[in-house]
Amino acid sequence: MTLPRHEFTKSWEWKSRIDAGDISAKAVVEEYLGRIEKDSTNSFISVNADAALKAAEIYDPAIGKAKPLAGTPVALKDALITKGLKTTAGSKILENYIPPYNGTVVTKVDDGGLINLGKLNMDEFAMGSSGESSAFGRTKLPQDESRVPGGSSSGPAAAVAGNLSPISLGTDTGGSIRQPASFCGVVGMKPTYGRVSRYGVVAFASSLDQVGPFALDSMDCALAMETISGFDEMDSTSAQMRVPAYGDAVQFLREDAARREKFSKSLRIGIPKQYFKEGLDAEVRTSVETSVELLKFNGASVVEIDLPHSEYALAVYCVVAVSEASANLARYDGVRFGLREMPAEEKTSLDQMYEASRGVGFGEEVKRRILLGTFALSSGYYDAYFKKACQVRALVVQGFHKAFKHCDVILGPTTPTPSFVSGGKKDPLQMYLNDIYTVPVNLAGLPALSMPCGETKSGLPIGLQVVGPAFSEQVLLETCASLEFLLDKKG
Amino acid sequence: MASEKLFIDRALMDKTARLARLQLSDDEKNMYMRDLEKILSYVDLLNQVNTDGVEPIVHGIPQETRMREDEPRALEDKHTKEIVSCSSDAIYEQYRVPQVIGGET
Repeated sequence: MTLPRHEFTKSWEWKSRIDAGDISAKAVVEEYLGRIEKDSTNSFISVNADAALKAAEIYDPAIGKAKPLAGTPVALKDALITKGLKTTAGSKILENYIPPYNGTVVTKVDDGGLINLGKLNMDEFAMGSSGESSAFGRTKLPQDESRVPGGSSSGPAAAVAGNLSPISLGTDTGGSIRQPASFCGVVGMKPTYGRVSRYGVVAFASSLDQVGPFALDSMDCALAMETISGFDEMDSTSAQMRVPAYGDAVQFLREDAARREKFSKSLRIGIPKQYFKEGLDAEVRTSVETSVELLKFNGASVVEIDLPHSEYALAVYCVVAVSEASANLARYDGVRFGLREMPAEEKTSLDQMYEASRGVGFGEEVKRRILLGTFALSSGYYDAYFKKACQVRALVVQGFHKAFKHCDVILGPTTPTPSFVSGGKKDPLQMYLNDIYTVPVNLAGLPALSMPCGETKSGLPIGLQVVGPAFSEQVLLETCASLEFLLDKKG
Repeated sequence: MASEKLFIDRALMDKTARLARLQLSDDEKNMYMRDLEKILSYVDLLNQVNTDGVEPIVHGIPQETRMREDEPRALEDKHTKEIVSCSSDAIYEQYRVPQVIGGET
């Protein structure tokens, strides 16, 4: 098995061919739709074939030329609200929900001239790390269908790795972009909290959720980031920050050896000792260490850093994420939208209707997390669980701030292991441990990406996580581009 | 945080399910009682951390709540229709629910 990014056509490559008149946007869309039709990974929940073909047919290269990804296809995690197109969040409770509006990210994708191929499978309400908890069946790892593609953005990762879409968008609350990107061998970025609007994103945990891209390389990831980032008055947590030209930054680095050398020599890499302890797979460790050595050999400085509270981050997440989720998911009551279930009793109360609708509509993991969150926020337990977790969260954040005084980026494994066999993790806590390296980043609101850095002997992709200070996405993408170059050269 | 291991009995499970407005079968309740105990006992790890004097935070990145002008934004009639039509039981652009007034609460 080779890494897919070497074999598949990237969006920026399609774009230059479309702009040059070598191929039409419609022919590109048809090629992907043809592959989606034969897909056996269950990456898509709904395919937007007719609308995609129509959009491709009327695409005018003369108008789209100025936009970096106009005319190329994209596919969206089914947590992104799409007007007139079913949006399920992987749940039975939203099985027939057709939203009357577009989320901001969807509007930006439309305005950017990208063509939406359809909505992608996911763990129900983004709660899962394996793609197995969708109400629409599990997503399979394209490289080995007996294994999981990771989650919760299982479809977005598998679609790019399986060549069903060159770019996709997912969401990341505790690792839901980076972990599946790692398992599938693609690039996945979780932006800084506030960089990308959350308006029109099905909410899981509002202080942690961010939308971000999956791509075959740093260039496509950069262009997708440029397309979706920016201030939005519809999201009260949206950041009023200028969006850098990420695509230009990556391109300069790729084309100019002197610039690459200068970047490598100025890069200060932090290695958190806590991320290389027991539980880390030996092959993952070796691949990550080799990547760090490559950067070091090319001039980067490497320092060991201390993230003293990182071992508590998952426990913090177990409280904070579910508490926020229990409040966010209270909206699914069977009244205004989504499934309504009426109990059989002749005289039914409003509460009985709520309970029945939610009892039938939500799946096992979602109910587990709602119960846990409800408990942590309930009278008598709030201080002991929620408040304590928010205090430790403050310490986790402080740890990052201190670390970034000594380095520009933090490098480490994205996940403790490569993809595992479906059905292999029945214990919820074992499943949560998948996110042990990714969760701290969400608690601190920082940007991070996962990029492929090697494979196991059996051919499973291994992911490297690159974390930076708030709004340092450009440095992360440049690090990714530099390492891609070095790994390609190494062969 | 409770220093002793938390025991979730059936009454506490019933109360939590009720607060969460979740109808659960007996089998589900038994499973979630075990799961919650296990996860909360993992969360007890936080007891090892001294948080005396640490201000709790609810966002990773400090930010002020941005306010907008308090001006109503008109919704067009067609939008009301579109929004209400997402309900599985709406009539005359209003949601229909089981009787609330004068019935059970």
